[in-house]
Amino acid sequence: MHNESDQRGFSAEGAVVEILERGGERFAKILIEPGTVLELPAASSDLSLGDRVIVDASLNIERVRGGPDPARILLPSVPATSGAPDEPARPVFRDYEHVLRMAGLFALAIVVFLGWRSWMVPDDFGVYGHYRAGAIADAAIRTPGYAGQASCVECHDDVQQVRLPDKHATVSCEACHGPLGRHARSETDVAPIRPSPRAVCLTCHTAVTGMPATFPKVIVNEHSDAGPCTECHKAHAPGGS
Amino acid sequence: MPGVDGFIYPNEVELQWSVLITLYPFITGLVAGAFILASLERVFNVRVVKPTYRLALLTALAFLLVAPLPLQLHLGHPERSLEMYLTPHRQSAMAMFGFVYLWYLTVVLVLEIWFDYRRQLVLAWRSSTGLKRQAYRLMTLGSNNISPAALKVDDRIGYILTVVGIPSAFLLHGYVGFIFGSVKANPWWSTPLMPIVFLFSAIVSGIALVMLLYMALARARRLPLDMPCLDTIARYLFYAFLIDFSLEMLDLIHRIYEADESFRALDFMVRTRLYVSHIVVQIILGTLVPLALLAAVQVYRFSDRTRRRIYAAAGVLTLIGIFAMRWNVVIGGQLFSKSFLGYTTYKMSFATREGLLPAVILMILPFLILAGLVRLLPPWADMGRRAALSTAGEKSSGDA
Amino acid sequence: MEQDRRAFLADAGRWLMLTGAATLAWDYVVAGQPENSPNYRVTDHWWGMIIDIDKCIGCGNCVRACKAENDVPLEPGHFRTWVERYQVASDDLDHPSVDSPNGAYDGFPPVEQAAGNVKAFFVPKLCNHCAHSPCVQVCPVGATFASPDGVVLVDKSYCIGCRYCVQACPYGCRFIDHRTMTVDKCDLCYHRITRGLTTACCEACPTGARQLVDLKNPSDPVHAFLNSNAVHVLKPQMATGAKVFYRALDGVVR
Repeated sequence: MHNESDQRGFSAEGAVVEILERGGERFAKILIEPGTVLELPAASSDLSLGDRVIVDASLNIERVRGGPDPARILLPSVPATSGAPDEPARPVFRDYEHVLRMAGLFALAIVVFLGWRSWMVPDDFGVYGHYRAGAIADAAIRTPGYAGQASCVECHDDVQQVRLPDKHATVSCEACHGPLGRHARSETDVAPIRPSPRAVCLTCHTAVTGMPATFPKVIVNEHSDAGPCTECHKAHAPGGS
Repeated sequence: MPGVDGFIYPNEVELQWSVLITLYPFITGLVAGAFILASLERVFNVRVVKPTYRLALLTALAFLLVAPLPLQLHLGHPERSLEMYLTPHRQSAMAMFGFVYLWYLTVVLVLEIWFDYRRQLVLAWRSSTGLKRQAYRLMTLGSNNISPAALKVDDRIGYILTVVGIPSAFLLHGYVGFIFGSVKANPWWSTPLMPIVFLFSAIVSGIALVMLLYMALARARRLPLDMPCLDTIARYLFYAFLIDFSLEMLDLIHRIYEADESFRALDFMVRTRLYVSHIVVQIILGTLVPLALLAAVQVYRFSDRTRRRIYAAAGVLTLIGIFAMRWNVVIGGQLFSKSFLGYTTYKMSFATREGLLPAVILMILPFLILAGLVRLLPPWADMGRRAALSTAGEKSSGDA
Repeated sequence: MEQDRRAFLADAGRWLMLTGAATLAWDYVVAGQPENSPNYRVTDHWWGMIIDIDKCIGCGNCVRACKAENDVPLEPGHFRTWVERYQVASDDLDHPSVDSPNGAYDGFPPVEQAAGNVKAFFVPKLCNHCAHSPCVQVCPVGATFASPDGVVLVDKSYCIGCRYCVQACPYGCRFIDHRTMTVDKCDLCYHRITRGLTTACCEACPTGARQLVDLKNPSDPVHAFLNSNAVHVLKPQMATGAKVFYRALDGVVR
């Protein structure tokens, strides 16, 4: 859609960027600002590339004399399309060339990416599945904190014998004594701390809503005073008092 | 525990995805919507919206460049984020989306803008000096052929890119919807409608944004505002909004009717914790009011000035409403426990890595980038610069 | 010639040293690779767990043992395993009262009064090491995966911390470890089970409510257990292939 042409003393200054010939007539393409180019008949033959001109509302071109030296306006000395016949002929290779440049840029980017990828991805990735195979080793390599029942019994079989007839035989040693892996591996000279003879029992046996009905539970205030449970129950065979 | 009602799994205390993850679908939605508006002109020959064609493309680019930033701020290890391109897990929607994003950014947006602006870039190369000249030269990749034959090639390729770009835009934001919609563990997210709802709300938000930008920029540069163009954009906004609203209502009605296991928990959440953001902001202010405004324009005749005001109001409310929709999906989906027995609260911080301040900065950033882009690649030719120059005036490459 | 010989000896010495170092390193590497360990072959095992609700007393030993064994932060929101307590009134089955104070790290508060017309029980929970795990499915980079012996593990040096897996897990068993900003979760004490030990939680459980099982081992008690008990998994409708089997799990449990 076209707006009404404005006759109010309009003038714009620009630079001649192309000179074309079409059907025997000369046209000048004048760049007013990036994005705005005029194409006007240029009957006067003394216009050349790089000239600064003024265009008025009637679309007359006036070459600026005494204005900025046209030679100061630099234009690339690559062969412009001026002078060539201007009809939209069948596209030749020259007209596709910029597309190939862009395609080349993409191809280069893909090659660089693939190369970088083969450098960055860990070598053991994908061996077993979509993960780094070394991650399995990473998970397995930590040192256990709890020694495990079998380990305790190796040295402390005497205690195990005491426990065997009791219901607590199936409770592992470390359930009450805490993690003792370092002790089992003789890593530290510090003896394991003896658990409190009250707190450790109450951990399990204080009545809490939700406990199975058959589980022996005590409401502490009703069961005993504030003394240690070992007053009445043997530490490693508390089932029989 | 403060902020917790009922029972939540012990690990659910803190929300995993913050306001930054709300920003992300909002931004990519704007991109997809702006592009679809641009494609209306190019592919569907809706010539009347031509004034906004280049502006829409530049807007899409500015926002798409910012889109990865909220994600980078959110990641625990952003320095490892490229692993998504190096070893993408093909079963993961998030991983595959990385490639959809890259495809869209490079092949669809950058290429289309390049082919559309190439002539202008060459002319700018020829007529500028110094550093600017080198910059423009780089952007033309050293080729300065702007003969009509070459421009015809550009036009053809641009057309193909737009045709390819439309399903790509659908894929871009539909994928984001799928990232949420495919999580079976979360009943607020898990629905096959999610990609479609996301897509249509994206179209709505993108159209609204371009419409508002067009009005604002035209006013700022004292260019004439093309009313037929604006009216057409508003009409498309109206249609898209109708579809979006219908889809969301369908989802809602479906949920209420089936009333499955999760429904009671979700219903309670919407009525309480999400009441303001969902009912008031998203539905009433953000959907019903703009729809009513746009519908009024279709039915009654208003003056140009009144219509402009209506469009501005509808546009702003729409954007707020679509942001609220993203908020309700992302944050809402994390406010209830997967046990369906309790709720937690989102405590948004201010000046931390995932707080409100970076979110605000990230929303301002695309406009700054757009300001730079319109200086580098001015879209004014389309937007009515033809005032006195129409008879032998500039034919912008879209028509060449 | 002198130069050549000296150079040769230097090179040979260097080569020997490197080989020696490499050999030592190789032992270290092999020791950490269960599939190469003398007694552990990955393909011989398919790990799971059985939990008997009737035996759980809510003592919280498992929670404490797990945190100690695996260096789990003590702050809220960091639980590889936890215990929930359900109290269900028979006239309101849809609204059970559930609590898990600090994940039951300190057990549960003692009962003040006798419970009325309410059914109450404990439910220990952990990662179900699903055979069709949704968390593995969504990881964008391959940082979480199911090992060939059925344990879902996290590669902490690869995880980017996107938290998609946390969203995808229906059971809420994953969390972000704020010290490493990567995801963490129960790994079935992989460093223990590959050495023939049981998991820390099973070790510490006083009543045997939790037991590690190896479904590929023909002499494992799990087969008799599964054959003679009604077992459930959590959220069976999600079809995750969960490998933690509960006995006596009430239908109200979420």
